[in-house]
Amino acid sequence: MDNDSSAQIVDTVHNSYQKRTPLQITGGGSHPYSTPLDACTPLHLSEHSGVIEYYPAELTITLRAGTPLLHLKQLLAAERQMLAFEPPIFEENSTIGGAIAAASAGAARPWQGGVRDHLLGVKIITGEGKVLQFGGRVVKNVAGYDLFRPMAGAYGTLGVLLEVTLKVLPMNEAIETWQQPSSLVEANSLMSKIRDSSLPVNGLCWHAEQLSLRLSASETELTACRPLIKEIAPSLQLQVVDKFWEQVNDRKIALFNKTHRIIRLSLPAETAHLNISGVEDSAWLLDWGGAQRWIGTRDGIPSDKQLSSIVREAGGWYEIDGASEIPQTLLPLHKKLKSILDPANILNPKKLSPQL
Amino acid sequence: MNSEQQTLLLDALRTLLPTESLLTEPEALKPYECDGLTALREQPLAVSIPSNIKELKQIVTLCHTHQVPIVTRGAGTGLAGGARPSPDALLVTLTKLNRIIKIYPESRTMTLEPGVTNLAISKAVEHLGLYYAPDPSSQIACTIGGNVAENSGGVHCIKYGLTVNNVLQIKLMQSNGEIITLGGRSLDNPGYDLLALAIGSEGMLGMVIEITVRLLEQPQQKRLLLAAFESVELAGDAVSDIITAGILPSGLEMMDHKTIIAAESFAHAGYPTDAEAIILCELDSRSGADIDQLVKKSRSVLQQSGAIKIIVAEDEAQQIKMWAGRKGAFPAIGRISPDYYVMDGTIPRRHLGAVLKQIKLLSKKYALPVANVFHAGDGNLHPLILYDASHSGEMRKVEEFGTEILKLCIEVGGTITGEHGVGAEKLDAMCSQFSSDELHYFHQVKEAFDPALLLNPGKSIPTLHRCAELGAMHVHHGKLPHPELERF
Repeated sequence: MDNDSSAQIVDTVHNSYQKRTPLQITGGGSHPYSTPLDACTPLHLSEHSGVIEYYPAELTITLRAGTPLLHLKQLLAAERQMLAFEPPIFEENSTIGGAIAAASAGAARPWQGGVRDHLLGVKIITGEGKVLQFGGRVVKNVAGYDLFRPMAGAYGTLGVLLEVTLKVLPMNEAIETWQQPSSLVEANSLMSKIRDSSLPVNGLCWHAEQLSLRLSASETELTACRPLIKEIAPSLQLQVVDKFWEQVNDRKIALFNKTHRIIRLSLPAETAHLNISGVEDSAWLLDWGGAQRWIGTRDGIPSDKQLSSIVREAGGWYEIDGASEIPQTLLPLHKKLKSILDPANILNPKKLSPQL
Repeated sequence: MNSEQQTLLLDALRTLLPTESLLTEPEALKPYECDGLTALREQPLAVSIPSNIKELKQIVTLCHTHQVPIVTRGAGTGLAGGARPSPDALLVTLTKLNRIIKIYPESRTMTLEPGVTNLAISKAVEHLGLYYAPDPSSQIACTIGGNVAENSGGVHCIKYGLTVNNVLQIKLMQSNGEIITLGGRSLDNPGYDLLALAIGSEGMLGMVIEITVRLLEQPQQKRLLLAAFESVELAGDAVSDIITAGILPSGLEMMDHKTIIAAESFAHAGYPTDAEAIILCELDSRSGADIDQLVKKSRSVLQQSGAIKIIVAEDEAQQIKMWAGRKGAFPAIGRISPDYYVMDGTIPRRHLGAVLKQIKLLSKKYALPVANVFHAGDGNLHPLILYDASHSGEMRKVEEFGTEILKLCIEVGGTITGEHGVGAEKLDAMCSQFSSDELHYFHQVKEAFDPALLLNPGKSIPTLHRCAELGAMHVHHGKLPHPELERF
């Protein structure tokens, strides 16, 4: 569990740079999009694990990138703390480095922030094998350009994550889940009412004809919320759910079955329902209060062309099976940033986008 | 710098801008010689004050054509000299670009121009029960454009985050006049998080010309507790106790004895002047239902931690009064000392006692008093060095003292700036915090965004030569920080 293999990893990257042999960086290898990259040598980070520094009173934790998320979650829970971005745990061996590289955040994302909002610093290996530190180990730090937050969602293409420092928060005191049967159309209007209300929401999704609302606050506050819930959505029922939110976060529901093509739409939450021909209501999963919408469909439906105009008009973007398009206006900066940190393009080449 | 090009630029600007938008006479330039860091002053080449984005674009394009650098300025409240002018550069002030472009109540966001003041944002959505969370103490004057450039914090960022956590999208004008959009109205965006990279880049990577901020719902209830302690160490431990008890206050501030005395005589906030340290702990509640419970829990933690006195503000008026002491702490110190120099390090809070002890020793060494104000929840320390600029050589002593404090922050695992930025002020300290490799990458990032190096030259990131030439280099764990560089 506690193992520092940084020297070995630095060596590997350095050698690969010398020989110009591309590397595929893997943590637990559990991410749904972690398919093998062409002609890449695997660089395993799961052995590089363990907590370096954790002081609950500082609200920060520094750990090696290969540390399993499950272990981390338990460790924080023992101090009644948590990662507020609620990273999905796809498999038992899913790592914190993987969660950061993929910027994976769970149902609480709109209300508790994403990976970028809780990342405080990183130690990385560049594509030339240099070890650099950006950010720090304290919650407030504005020295130097912010080259650490861009590591969230870069899929390892800007550097191999060695160590990360995260902000942690006190655990939510009490949590309740409320559910009701609802059509997709009805769900859109209910979600809008709930978002506009003063309810302490930290999860709001719709799938398979069911609307689910998660509230998080003190017991007192939750009790005080009851009249408001009845006013907004009288059909909502308090439910005891087992692992429901984990299943949504960890993509364990049928929609994510691998025989489907998975489309993820990231939209302003208030976007009205997008009517896309050929996509039935049952193919939709609305999460993040409407800001993240998934479609699981047969190949070819909807087409890229259908999607791009609809989604762009709504002020959002989409990815299909993890692949998205970087806007042309920003492509030159992306290429420059990539070439600064990985001049020989050996770190997960084309993993983020074929455009890079 | 080519003076012929400067003349050509000024001629072109005279044709472009109305007379009142271009200042070139020395007496008109005087007020722009410095920002909030008054110790560093330079006269700008000229000052231009565009009235709209179109004018700004023309100015920037002209500067690009003539290769004349630009220093961008908002309200000039920055405390690190990020907007300090340079005699070679045109100062561009964005305060006239102060339109609120659109409020989106349904998504709780607002799009605005960079010259809107921080407080004006919250005022504009007060009637909707919303507000903008980051609240630097200069919020009445400072602009959102400046906040984005500096990634500003404030007393409430322990719970609600910094600027970077509350901005969804910006439009950035690059040094060639082209405009790019970073971020978006969705919660994440394709590609790299260039939005985060641009926020806090101190005007080095582009000019922020439009900002979309996230708004929060105003909490129904707020309470303010004051706890007095017999030592700063005990107060520091109490802060940790609050947090480990699972309480996340919306503000958690600390002041030492010298600051308490000054603030009390300035603001009559009702502070116990016999205390060695006080904590201000603000609690908020979304619905208000659990506020009494939160107050009770916090009070009991503070008592257990050895508070000798606890005051809970009885009403909003008393809260405002108690906050006034803290918010007026800097001017209050200004009344007891001809000049003061604000430091801005962050430290892991567990080292607070040791760091304050060391600062006390340094205070003796330099024979300069220090007062300490502390965003305790975040570990962000503001030691104020008291001095008299009219005494010759004293400023130099102050700077040396300050540099030692910042090194101390780095040694205990902290940072040289928690929220004020590097600007023109902390370039030397940057050499201690970052390796030359890291600095080298920063310079490359600068070049990627601004290949001609026209934006705010000489700020934020020190040259490697500067670090090598520094006489007083920091030797960390016996290692010279930039061994590969020649020493001159």
